[in-house]
Amino acid sequence: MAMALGSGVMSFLESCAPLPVFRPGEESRRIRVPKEKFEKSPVVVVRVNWMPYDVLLVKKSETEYKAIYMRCSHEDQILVASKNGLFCAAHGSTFDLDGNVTKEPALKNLTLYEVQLQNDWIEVNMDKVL
Amino acid sequence: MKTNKQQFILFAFMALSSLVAKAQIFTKEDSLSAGLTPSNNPTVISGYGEAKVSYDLKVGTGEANLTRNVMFFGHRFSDKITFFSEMELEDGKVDGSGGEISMEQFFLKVNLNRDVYMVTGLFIPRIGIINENHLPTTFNGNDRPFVERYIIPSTWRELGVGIYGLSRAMPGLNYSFAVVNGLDASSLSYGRGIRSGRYAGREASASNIAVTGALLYYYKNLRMQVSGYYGGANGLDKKMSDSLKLGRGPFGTPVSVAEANIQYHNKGWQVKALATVINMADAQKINNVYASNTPTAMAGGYVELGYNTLRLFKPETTKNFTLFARYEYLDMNSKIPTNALSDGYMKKHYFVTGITCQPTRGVSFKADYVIRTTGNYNSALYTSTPDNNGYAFSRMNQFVNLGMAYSF
Repeated sequence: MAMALGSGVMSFLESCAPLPVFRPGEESRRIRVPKEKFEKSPVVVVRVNWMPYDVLLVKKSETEYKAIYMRCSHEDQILVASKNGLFCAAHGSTFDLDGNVTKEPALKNLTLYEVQLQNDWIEVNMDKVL
Repeated sequence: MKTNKQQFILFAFMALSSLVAKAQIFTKEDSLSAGLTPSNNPTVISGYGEAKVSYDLKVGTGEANLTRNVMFFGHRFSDKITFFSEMELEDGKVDGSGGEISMEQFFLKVNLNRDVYMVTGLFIPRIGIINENHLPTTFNGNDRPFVERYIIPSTWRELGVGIYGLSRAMPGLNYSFAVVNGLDASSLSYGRGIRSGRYAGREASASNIAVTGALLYYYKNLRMQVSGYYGGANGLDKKMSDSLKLGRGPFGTPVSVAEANIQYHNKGWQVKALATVINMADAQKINNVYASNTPTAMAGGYVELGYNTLRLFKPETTKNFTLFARYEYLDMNSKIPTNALSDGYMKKHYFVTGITCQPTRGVSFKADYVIRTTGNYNSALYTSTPDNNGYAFSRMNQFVNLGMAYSF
């Protein structure tokens, strides 16, 4: 009982920890994120100044990453990301870490961008929507 | 004459909307902001609506009604500034016997940075569940929860300025704060809570204001919220207020609302619970002036459980066939001043159960069964009976509702 409670508290505290934010230095439509950014968290928020919304980069496995545009497909609200999914505070839509709608009112899945693995880097191609 | 004018405005709006809609068909844009993809058409139309037929099992009659149709119209001026509006038609048509056309939302949204935005205009503060998230495809039952109609007067929109933001330090935590026009104590009507006191954007008093705020937190599949509202309800001038002995100023003749709710969604299960209380400290003074039998306090709450039964056969389905049950309790005169009359009819229990069928996202077919029980009515407050249907009063009544809803 005590262990379960302790595990729950730890889980809660971990979820409260801020997600790592990566700010690429160069202004490019191909964003390169070092793999080491995923050492402590399977999700990293990529913040590029010229984009109106962040991109959530999700590590699904060693060979699979997803780049999710953090704009709600319902009314374009900024989405909030967590290690469990994304949600819209304005109208309650929720999405999984594949960008799929898990709760309305959003009807369409989130925009995904092409991701390529390059040695120690993950490259997000902002010109190619999947 | 006024009715004809309203109908003309609605017709013109819908005609314009249809033109915009045609323009949208040929774009690949799915929402207001094109984001990284340049868009030549940042204008968007969408909407939602619902209709139902309701059978009163005691009287044995039915009524079919186009409950509402709402047209959304928005425009993105830049990456930072967007316009949102919703025009609502209630009850199918508008004439001298009923129906209503109103603006449900009309605001500019300004992104201050990646985490904070401001809204200004006519908007819906974050109070309760349904107020902000009222699309009919997102709740079970043909009727919105009664607590969120009679206690929290959804949709409760007022003119003002609001700030909405999220915490990066604590993922999942969101906040909002707004200043809006206050309520109108002179319009309060018995049995409708504070609903009739809303201005909803029409010639609102800016002499009295209200502040409202909310904290919203997402943790895994839980969504928790607390919100509050405090505002004045008297916009009369000093001479008139003094004469009527009503408190004036920004927060004169105050109304306060406190609310908390929690929602859980996981693997087809849905659980919702909400509790709210409203206080009107100057109810006695309001009754002295307006004789509206206004209570000092109202309270209510509900719990709902639902399960998408299609998950039993296909766990990954996006279709929905939810069985649900909801219990609601509301007391619209839980505390009354000495110059008000108590009325057992204002203590109501609702049990609602039914199905919500969604063959595809954005479309719902609904069927539900409602049992309503009340206390005895106070005959001093009614000329006939509360239901006013010519039948003997009964503390219990039952209804069957069938309906459809869409949103896109």
